[in-house]
Amino acid sequence: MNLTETPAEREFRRRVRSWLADNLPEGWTEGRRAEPRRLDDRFQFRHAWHKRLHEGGWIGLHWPVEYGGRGFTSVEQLIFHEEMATAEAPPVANWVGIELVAPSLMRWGDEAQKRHYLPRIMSGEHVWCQAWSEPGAGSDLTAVATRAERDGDAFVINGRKRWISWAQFATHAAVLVRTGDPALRHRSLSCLIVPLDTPGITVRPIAMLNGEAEENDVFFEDVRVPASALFGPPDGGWSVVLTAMAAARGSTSLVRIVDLQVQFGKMVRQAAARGGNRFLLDDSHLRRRLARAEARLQALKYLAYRMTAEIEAGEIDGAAGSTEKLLWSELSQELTELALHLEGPRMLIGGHVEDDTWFGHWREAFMRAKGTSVEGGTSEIQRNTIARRVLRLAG
Amino acid sequence: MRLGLLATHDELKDTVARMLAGTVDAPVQRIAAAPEHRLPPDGFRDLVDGVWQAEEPLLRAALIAEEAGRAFAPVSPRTALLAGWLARDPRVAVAGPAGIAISVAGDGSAEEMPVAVAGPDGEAVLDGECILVEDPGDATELLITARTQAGPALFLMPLDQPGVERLERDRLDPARPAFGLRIAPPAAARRIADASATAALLGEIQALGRLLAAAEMLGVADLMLALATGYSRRRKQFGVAIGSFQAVAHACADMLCEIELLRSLVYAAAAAPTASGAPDRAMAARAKGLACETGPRVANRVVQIFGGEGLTWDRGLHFGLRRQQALRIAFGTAEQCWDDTSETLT
Repeated sequence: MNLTETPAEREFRRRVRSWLADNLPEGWTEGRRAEPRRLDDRFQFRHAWHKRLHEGGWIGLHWPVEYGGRGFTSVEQLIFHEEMATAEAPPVANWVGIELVAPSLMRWGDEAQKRHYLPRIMSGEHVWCQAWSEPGAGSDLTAVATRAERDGDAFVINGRKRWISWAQFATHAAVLVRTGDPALRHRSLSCLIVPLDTPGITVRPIAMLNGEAEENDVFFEDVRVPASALFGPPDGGWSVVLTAMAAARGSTSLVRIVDLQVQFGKMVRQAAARGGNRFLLDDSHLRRRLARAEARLQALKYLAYRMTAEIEAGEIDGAAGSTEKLLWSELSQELTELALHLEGPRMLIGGHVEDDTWFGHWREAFMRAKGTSVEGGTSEIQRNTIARRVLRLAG
Repeated sequence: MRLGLLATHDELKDTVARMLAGTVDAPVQRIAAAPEHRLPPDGFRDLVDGVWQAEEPLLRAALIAEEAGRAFAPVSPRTALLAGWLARDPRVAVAGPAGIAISVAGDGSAEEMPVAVAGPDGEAVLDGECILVEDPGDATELLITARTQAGPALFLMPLDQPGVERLERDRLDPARPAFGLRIAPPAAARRIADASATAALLGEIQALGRLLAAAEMLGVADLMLALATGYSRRRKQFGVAIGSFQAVAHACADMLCEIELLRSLVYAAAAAPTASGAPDRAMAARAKGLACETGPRVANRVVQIFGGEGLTWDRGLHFGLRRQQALRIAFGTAEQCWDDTSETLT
């Protein structure tokens, strides 16, 4: 490990920063998050941001050049993600497509699928979701019951998917379906590419505890897709799942860690400014808790660095990603507890702008963070994975 | 920037592990049966003394300390690494790192700094006490901070002279050689850095000492977790390995997470030296602060996983517990580290 940036890396960082300064959405100044409140408006806002990033050549930095990517080094990607998070840039609308579906397509799609879908994912013309989980297949994804029956040159899909993020805005879904004997568990699952405007599909948003509805139920009733929609080997859908899971690690985790660092730093500085620094001077217990949290955040960032290096070297499988996921979800929740302490009654009211600074982040984060230890595999599942696959404990 | 270790770093770790495996024969359990303090082989001392001339010396120093922790080395390389660090500094009049023990302000070896008064021939005469000084095995001199009228200054004091009494100590960590010192006139010492240079040097020494102690605690934690997972695979209750129970498996998974978090911070602190080559003070404090929490917590949980066996003297887990407790004191506890880093928050 060597954290000293080369002149070329410094120049690259300067270039990213300068582009962001010129291109962040209108009214988007440092220290102010001005995303629309309504979810559908927010999606459109993020979609427009995606397009601007694409026009600037910043989407798919790490994709291979043959698929329209820029073939950037992992350090350049990391610098880009750090600068995005530091500038509090909005997320892109098609995150699932870019970070999860595209790597799976590159690995498992046929040439026609790659040529058709990858450029459209990159441009944002297609917005994707992953339709994997079901009411009876959450932690145990191998229990998927949604069936796809072969009927001539088509598949006919019937079943119900649940916890499908941003499906109400997606144009396409990668759907995990049962194509064989359920007793074969993960060996009889396949992955299908399904345009969401296909007849027989109903998407129903699920209101969550934070008042948002990013998650959806997706119902499939006699949904017909051509046999060419098969993505990956027949009955080999589990391989697609593993590729997408592996892709979910690395640089994307860095974004959320740096974002947490930025928000934490702002919260402490603002609280210190409000209290004339007295709260920090007077309360050594709180001061130490804050210092400890700050150190853990830094450590987590460097864990993401190491993970990026190890992924690039092909040294680790998905199991090590469980370590970062588990630590991040717990720390993000711990920070919202600290926020309650620092923000006090401000945590009780809605977001508002004061001196060009948007308040309300931590009130929303407090509710939103409850999901971090559930989504993408619960903390308990992460611990099982670490115990079995890293520590080789039976069970 | 380079985000991970190079093959040469892995080779260094392997080399240190091989060298130190010979000094303790086996991990903590067997130390219980043979607690004598064997010195590391000559080659190890050469490796340690050569660190500061190598590429990326700070990272190499941290990796050596980590491996020494994992091997449960009786003699910590920290003293030799610190002495080597000072010997390369033109502000310090020290010939070389060999034969030097260290007791500097804030390292946890003394409650109060000895007092230095002017002696004959321009030498100082020291008066004070060191509670416990780590014994590098070949120490003939002590590098010590003592209070002068102008503030703390660094001295080099021969150990074999009138007025210096070496004390046998009943130690919390009996597997690590160390001695106490009673120092009284006419114990003479040579000043090797004046008060103004000492202030800057002490900052660097503290940062380096914290990083190396954190790295060693990381290695000890690795060793303890490896013992726990090995035992969890072998030990059967209710007809199955105890590692198959989630209560045990999840405890081990949590320990691994905490250890990897610590490793990341230790490596990062070692990978971004300041212009002087010393670690950044805040980064070193963060690493030591986290080590002071993770090291003892892992040790405690590992003892619990072993059940009654973990409580026995012969199983030897208590040596790991003792070492982590002792290392907490070295260059500052978590609380002292958080107090230091909290100044950077606003």
